[in-house]
Amino acid sequence: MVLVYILWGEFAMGDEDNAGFVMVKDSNGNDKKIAVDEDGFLLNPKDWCPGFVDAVAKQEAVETLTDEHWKIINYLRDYFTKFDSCPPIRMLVKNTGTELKKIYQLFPTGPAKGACRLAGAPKPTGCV
Amino acid sequence: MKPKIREILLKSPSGKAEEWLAKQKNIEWANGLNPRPAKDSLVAEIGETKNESPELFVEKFKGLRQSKAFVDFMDSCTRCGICIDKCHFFISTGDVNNSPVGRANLVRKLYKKGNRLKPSSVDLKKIFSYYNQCTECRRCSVFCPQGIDQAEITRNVREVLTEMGMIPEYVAATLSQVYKTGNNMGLNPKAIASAVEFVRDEMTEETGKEIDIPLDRPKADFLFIPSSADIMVNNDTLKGYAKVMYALKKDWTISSATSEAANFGTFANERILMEFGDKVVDEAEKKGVKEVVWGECGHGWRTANNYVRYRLAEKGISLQHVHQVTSKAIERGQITVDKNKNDDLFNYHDPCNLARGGNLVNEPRKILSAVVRETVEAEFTKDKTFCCGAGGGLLADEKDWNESRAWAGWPAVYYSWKTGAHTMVSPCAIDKAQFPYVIGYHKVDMQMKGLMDLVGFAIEV
Repeated sequence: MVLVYILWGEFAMGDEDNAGFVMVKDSNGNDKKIAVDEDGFLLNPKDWCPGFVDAVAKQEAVETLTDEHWKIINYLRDYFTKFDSCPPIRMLVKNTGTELKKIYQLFPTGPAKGACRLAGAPKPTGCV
Repeated sequence: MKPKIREILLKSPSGKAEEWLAKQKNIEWANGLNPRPAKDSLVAEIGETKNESPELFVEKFKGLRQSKAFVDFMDSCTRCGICIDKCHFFISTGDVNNSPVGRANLVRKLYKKGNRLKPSSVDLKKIFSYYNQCTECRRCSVFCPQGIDQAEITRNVREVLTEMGMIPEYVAATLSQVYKTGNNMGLNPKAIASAVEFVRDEMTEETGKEIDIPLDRPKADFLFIPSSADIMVNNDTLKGYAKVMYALKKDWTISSATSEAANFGTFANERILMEFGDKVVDEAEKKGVKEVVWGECGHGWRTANNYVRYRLAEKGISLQHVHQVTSKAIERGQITVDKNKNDDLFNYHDPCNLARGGNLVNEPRKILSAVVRETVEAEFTKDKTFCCGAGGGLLADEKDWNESRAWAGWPAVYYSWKTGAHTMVSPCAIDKAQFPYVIGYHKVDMQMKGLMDLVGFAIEV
């Protein structure tokens, strides 16, 4: 079992004084500190690694990460890397072959907030 | 519980009313409520500098005397109290500071001091908090015997606060995205193209027809301004636009540089409002269009109708709302619709800024009654419509704030629910995000649709 430390608001950083860090394991199994905002979204989406998902999944009410979760997260991550944005929800449904109801079961906090946060997207802005 | 209208809180099926009301016994509680303030770096991204000094507030506040509306509204209040229970934030919180007259009095007492106003009498934290619990909905102004518009007072005070860098993080983050990409959601041209192509393919599958959503065509007769939320979330609204433009054989395009009907500058200051409005004017001129067509957005239409329209007119370009286009087309028989496609009872919710700031009350009703089987009006409707509780830049999704906006939105949902309708219809992107949340929080058996969504379902192409 990977030991994960989650440290919130422990380290002040510039004027982002209320932001925090998440301790994650990188792909080589080393500890890595990733900066997140007050709502737990990555401050820099490029910092994303699978260890981030392991570290914060429970905060999005995902108790155990299954292959079905990873299928959604990987799709969102690929899309985000390409377009700097999450896809329309219906595109996610269609291209992963996962019904919306099922997506809400997998990610109880919803696709836009929960799943996209785990995939490393920043907090959404505008009328959503 | 006084006044009587507050009893609607107890009618929420959420089972959370007692707990919510218990919190209100703590006076300090409401004082601390507001969306989280933006940090220095974010404030810099929207071209302002953070300086939270009461001295600066006093200096800028004195400048508000140049606004005739502000001065009139400060001077003419008789403290009759009629406005108090007309405000959804007062109904939900029971806090007089959260009523129109109470909110105004927070600054009226400073105004009355005139030149003797000292920085030591300014409670900036309190002003920031209560001036960010006003959704600028203007419902109070309809009931005030003096016609005092608290939204105008709020806009004046926020003008000062924004120039001091005191602005909610959610509003500043959204403004910053518009500066970077031209839209609230921060979508780059590739992301917009990908989403639009997907929606276009879906329409082809559904209808068997090649209904285009033209994007970034260099020349066209009509420039269409959707909400960026239509592109990413409310795809049925986008389909409604495309089907109407297709049926009318319009030569139109969306531009990825200005794919935003909203204008969050309305919630910050006039400089930003005008800069965003001018972006659309410049794009329309560059593309040589004859007309700009505005998509479904509440406050954005108020800005378009009262500012962008006149800037466009200088260039010989006209402006219409998509509801004006659609309503005329239905009236003239240029499009055919099948009501049976929307076989249910629908309640139209007037967005504040269409009904009280945009002269759009009749067209949406004409359209709705043409495209659905049955409609019903709520008790408070047209200019007396209740706010969704998240306008004015208060749609922030934040742990401490979400409960507050769920209750601020309850009056609107409660009166719609009471009609027996199963679907609330609103042509406002903030409503489309806020109402499903309020409906879910209060466990009401209702759903939310955009008006153009229903047009899209009913239109025969």
